[in-house]
Parts: sequence; structure tokens; C-alpha cells
Amino acid sequence: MSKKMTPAAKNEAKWGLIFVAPTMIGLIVLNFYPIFNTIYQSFCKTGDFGKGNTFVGLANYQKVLSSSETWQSLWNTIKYALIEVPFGIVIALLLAVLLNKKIAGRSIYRTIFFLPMVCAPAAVAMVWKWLYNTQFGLLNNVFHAKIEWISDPNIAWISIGVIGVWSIIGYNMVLFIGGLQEIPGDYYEAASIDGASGVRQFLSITVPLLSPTTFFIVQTRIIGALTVFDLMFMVLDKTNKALKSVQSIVYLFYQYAFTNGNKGYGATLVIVLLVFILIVTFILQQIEKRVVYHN
Amino acid sequence: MESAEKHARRNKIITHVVLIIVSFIMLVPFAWMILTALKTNQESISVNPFYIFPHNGWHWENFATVWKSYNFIILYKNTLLMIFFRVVCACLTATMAGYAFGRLRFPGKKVLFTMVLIQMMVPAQIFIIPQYLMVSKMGMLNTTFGLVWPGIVTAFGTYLLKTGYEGLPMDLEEAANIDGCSIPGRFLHIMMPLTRSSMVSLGIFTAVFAFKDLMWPMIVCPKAECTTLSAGLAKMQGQYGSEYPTMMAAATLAVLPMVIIYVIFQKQFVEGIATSGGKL
Amino acid sequence: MEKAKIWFRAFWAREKEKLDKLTTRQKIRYIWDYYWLWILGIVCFFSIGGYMIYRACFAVKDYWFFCVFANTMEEGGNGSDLWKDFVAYSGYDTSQKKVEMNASMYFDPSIPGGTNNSYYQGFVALVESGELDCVVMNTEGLQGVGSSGRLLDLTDESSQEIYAKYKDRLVYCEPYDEEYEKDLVPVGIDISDSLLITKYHLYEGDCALGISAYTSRPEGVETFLEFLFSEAEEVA
Repeated sequence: MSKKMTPAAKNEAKWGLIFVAPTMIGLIVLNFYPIFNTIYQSFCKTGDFGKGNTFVGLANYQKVLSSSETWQSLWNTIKYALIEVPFGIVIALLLAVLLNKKIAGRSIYRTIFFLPMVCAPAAVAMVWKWLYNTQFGLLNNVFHAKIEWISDPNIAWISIGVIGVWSIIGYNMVLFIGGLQEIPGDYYEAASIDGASGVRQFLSITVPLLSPTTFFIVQTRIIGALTVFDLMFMVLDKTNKALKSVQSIVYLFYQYAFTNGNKGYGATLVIVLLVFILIVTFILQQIEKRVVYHN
Repeated sequence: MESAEKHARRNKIITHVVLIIVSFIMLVPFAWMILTALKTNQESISVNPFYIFPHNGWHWENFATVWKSYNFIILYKNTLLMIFFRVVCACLTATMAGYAFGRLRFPGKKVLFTMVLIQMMVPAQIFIIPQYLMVSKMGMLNTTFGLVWPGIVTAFGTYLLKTGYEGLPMDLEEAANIDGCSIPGRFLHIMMPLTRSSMVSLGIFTAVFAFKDLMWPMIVCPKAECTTLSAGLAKMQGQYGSEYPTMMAAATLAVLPMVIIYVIFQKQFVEGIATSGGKL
Repeated sequence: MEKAKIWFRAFWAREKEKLDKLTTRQKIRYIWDYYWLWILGIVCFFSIGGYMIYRACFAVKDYWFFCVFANTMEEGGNGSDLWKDFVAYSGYDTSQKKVEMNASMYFDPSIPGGTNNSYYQGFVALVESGELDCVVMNTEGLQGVGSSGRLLDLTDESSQEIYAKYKDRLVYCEPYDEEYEKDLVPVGIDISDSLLITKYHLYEGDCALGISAYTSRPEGVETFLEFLFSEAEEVA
């Protein structure tokens, strides 16, 4: 601690550290120890039939960075994020604004939009596989087409993105509703008295006051989309023709670290992804300073 | 004046049409889950989309079979206990850290917050083995607290509440500061009650994630008497040689309490508007 | 510390002043309204902490033997007949260390997408944490698990005795890792004619047993194998 700090600033620093202590201790024990472990593993060639770890230096990094598979799956992940993040957020915001008004049956609507979040993942996967089925699927039957929704490399990434948007809307909506609730109602009353229309109110009150929440959702959803896994995990399998052009980087990590037992290579993929997301986050934080409204 | 009324009515109808269409899209898997639960095994594996509804009678007995073959009371109890502990712990640690990150200045704030973000950037799979070993070495396998363990702090929640605190007007706290209210006093009596709806969102998310997590309870609590719903139905959900109708009946029974919890919490949301700024 | 005391006194004095004006019932109401979450939090904190210390001191933590039976629909977990018979046969004292059997895992690396589930992730966690001793599953699936290098190469020193005894029952797999010294690695023991099938009916087709590459207790597996073939020997 520097001597320049005023007593008030010292007091603030003390309470700040006390308040973050439980969370930080928990995160270090539960999460940072495993992360450091992973970093260490990325320099190792791990367990072959009980023969133990061997330190191989940067060999894994060399392999990962020179493999076209890595860059292809990183690109796939970005493509997925480009569908999921904007669509998921815009649709959820519109729904949240509609449901924040006093309309009949809004609690029923909210509950319905929340349902996909609690649905058994197995049920979700089966429904979508059924919808997308080439022979009997509902989509192909309705459009009288023979489109291979999830095994045609040109289409599959969009189909997967659609499932992603579908399953994230309810989630974003709950957050947006939370944010909308925190906007004081008198702001709108004042605006109504001044004769501002609904759209004007939305643009001049809702958008700026909701911008911290929106930024939070953008930031967490970008992280979420770049680490997408569960969805691919349920829908894709090894025999899928389009696998190479849709698999995300975490899916690739899973294939190496879990299915093939090559933990060192998998750990290296995680570190590469982590560095990439950190760069994206740094750029986002710079944007936040200019765009987000703080009162 | 009349045209304005007409305008409002038209708006309302459009709103409802949009909402109903979206509701339909959202409801499909859920409806499918229930409909499958009512079919015979034979029907359930045919992928012909024209057999959406069971056509050999509605087999309500699937639910009865599932209910009898599991001790649902114990599974519900374990699940609710785990959710309760996780929600309370996560909300408290996250609200404290969120306030500090959002409102206070202290050394190392940027580094610590980056650590919070990093936790969200790595795949969750890398945490399992060390966390499992911790629980095992503490002798907490097959206990409810073993289930709670990885959920006592939350990076996501910390970030969420930081956003909540940042969004509050600065003048509120400045006024309190001039009044001589100390930092914990400001936090407890002024700021925390105002972020109530963020806390409710966090509670809902914590509950949903805890509820859906299958792998953690499966390895930490393999015993049937102390596991949660999602893992307790493991036998039913085993991919191989499984029967979809019973499996879906089990899934439906498992989801119901979550829906009820949401409906209850949602009431909190709606009331939140009227009493915003009240006590927590 | 001194400052904290002063703060707390001031805080308490203010709260007390407010409380003095209220009736008992209102007092409880007031405290609950403001602090219910904190009260619950403290209760949670102490119950978790207390229970943790209690378990850390008194719970049975070590294993005699820990086995996973994958892909079976039959009852083979803790407390099942198989479990009871094995404990009786081996004479392990379960109040000192645990005998753990888990028969609710479903994954099959030999079919496409057969490892894309939570069960497989859980299984990998059990193996790599070093807690698991052995896994029994259909032979093809076991070969798939073996290919990932998670099962012990039975020619290894630690399993010499098992290797010598069950030489004619070995199951081989091809490692995914092309740099490994052998093209075919013995990772499993075929137990299709053991008690597991004839008496407990855990599997319908063939099945095999593999030893975890990270185990520290090969003796337990040896005893389990003896148990599996015990009655067959008696008959012979």
C-alpha cells in the first residue's frame, strides 16, 4: 500500500479486498489450480498405458499451431458465434421489452420462454435431430426437400447456429428482464408526460439505461459461444460428413483429451483458445469504455 | 382519440401474435417430451413426423412405472437441498464481490476481475478431476455438501452483479457517504436491496445449472440415496437399450419442480416493480 | 481491528436504537426482513464447514477396491448381491476402507458418438484421478477405452502376476498414439465365462475387464479376478 492513499481510499481498499476475498479464494482453489495444472500439462506428453508423463517442452504447441484442423475449428467457432450472439441477443431483447409491458398472460409467456432452459438436454437433442432428419424430418417434409441439414458442410453450421439461438433466447431474456426491472419507472412516466412515443422511449431511455446489462450479455455470450460444446456434443458424432466444418475448438479438445486420451494436446488447445478469448475480451473492454452508458 | 385507441389495440394484437408464434417454437421440445412419454416404445422410435400424437392410446402408465421404480421423494429432496445451498452461497459471495468490483476502488482490481473472466473462458471439463479429488480426499463423496462444493462461488454471478451495481445511480451512494454511512452500511442497507432483480436472475441461473448438471452428481454421489434427480435417472437415461417413453416420462417428472420454482420466483420479479427500492 | 470494533459498535448502536422502539414480534420481523439472506448464509457456511471437518476426520476415504461396470442394465452397484458376495469372499473390512462398485455408466468408444456423453466424462474423471481400479464392459468397448491409453499395459511390472495367470485370456487393442512402442497392447482380460455372466447376469454377450493405468492397488483387482473365477474352479 502506498502512503499517498487518503484514509478514505485506504478504507475503501480494505473493504474492497474483504468483499472479494471469499469469491477469489473459492475461485483460486476450485478453478485456478486446475487451470495451472492444464498449463503445465500442455508442456507434457501424457499417460500411455501407465507409463507416465514426459516433459516435451513446446512440442504440443508446435503441433497444434501447425495443424490446419486447429485453425479450421477456430474459424468454425467464430462462425457459430457470429450467428448465435447477435440473433440470440436481438430476439431476446425484443421479447423482454414486450414482456415488460403490462399485457395479458405475460407470466405464462415468460414461463414458456423459460422452458427450453430446463428441458432435458437429451430431449432437446432428439427433437432437433428429428426436425433435421433428412428422410423423415419435419423440415424436409414441409418444404418437400431433401436437404441434409446437419451433414451438409455448407448448411450444417447454420443449422447448429439455429439450435444455439433457440436454446439461448430464454436465458438472455431472463437477464434482460432483470435489467429492465432496474430502470426506475418514473423515467418512463416523465417521458410519457413529455409526449415521447414508445419507440422514442425505447431509444432514449431503455437503450442507454440497459446498456450495462446488454454489454454484460454480449461479453458473456461471446465467451459462451466461443467455448460452445454441449450443443455440438449432443448433435454431432464422428460419422458426420460435416464434422470438420462445424466442430468447435472445445469439441476438438474433447475429442483429443477425452476420447483419444491425448491430454497434453487437448490442454494446448485450451490454452490457445484462452489466449484468443482474452484478446477478444480486451478489445471488448476498450469498446465498453466508449459505448456503455454509466450514470 | 378513437384512432389512438385503435392503434393501441392493433399494437396489442401484433404483440400477442408474435409472442404466440415464439411460444410455439419454444414449446416444441417440451411438448414432444410429454407426448413421447405417452407413447408405446414402438411408436416412439419411428421418426415419421406424422405420428406426433400417440395413436395407440395415451399411455399414462409410463409415468406410474417411472414413479414406482425410483424413490422420487428422496431425489427431489437431495436436488432441492443442493440447489438451496448453492443458491444461498453463490448469491452471497457474488453480491459481495460484485459490489466491490462495481463500486469500490482497491489495488489489484483489474487483475482479480480478469481472473473472474478467465474462469468463464476455459472449458468446464478441465475442472472436474481436481475438484473430484478434493471432494474425495475430504471424505465428502456421497454427501449433499460434496454436491454443493463446486458451486459455492460463481464467476458468472460476480460479473452479473458487478453489472447490476454499476448500473445504479452514483448520487445515491454519495448522499449516503456524506451522511457518514460506512461502506458495509451502504452496501447492506442501500445498494444491495436495489440489485434485487439481478440477484433473482442469478438465483434462477444457479438453480437451473445445478439442476441440469449430470456429471458432477454422477461421479460424486453414485449412491442412489444421496444423488440428484438428473443423475438418479442415470439408469433410465443410459443411451444403450433405453426406452424413450419411460425415459421421457422420467425427464418430465424431473423438470416439473424447476418449472414450479421459476413460477414462484417470477412472482418476485413482477412484484419487484411495485416495491423497487424496498428492502431485500 | 480497533477500527472494526468502533464501526461495529456504531452500527450496533444505530440498529439497537431502531430495535428498541419495536415490539418483540416486530423486532424479529425487522431482523428477518433485512438480514434473512445473511442469516441463511451464515447457517449454510457453518453447516458446510462443520460437516466438512466432521467428514474429513471420520469418514472412510480409502478404497480396497473400486470398479465400474459400464453398459449394464442389471443391479451391480453397492449393496447388490454381487457386492455382498465379493465383500464376503475377499474378507475386506468395509468399516476401514470402501469397496465401491458403480453400475450406472453408459458409454461405448467402439461406436460413433459413444463417448459424447456425460457418463464417459465422469468415467474419465474417475480413471484419471487415480481412484478407479478397474472397469468391466463389453469387449469392443473396452478395446476402445484401451486405445486411449487409459488402461494398464498388462505386461507392465505392476501387473506381472495377473499377466502370468490370465495369459490365455488377453484382449488386445490398437493405441491411438502412433508413437507408442507396440502396435497391439494387451489391456484386458476376457471374463465372458466368469460368475459375472453365469451367476449375476450383468452382460449378455462377451465382456472383459481392464485395469486402470493410474491405479495404485492392483491387489484388489487380483482378488476380484479370483472371486470371479472362484466357483468355476470348484466345479472343475
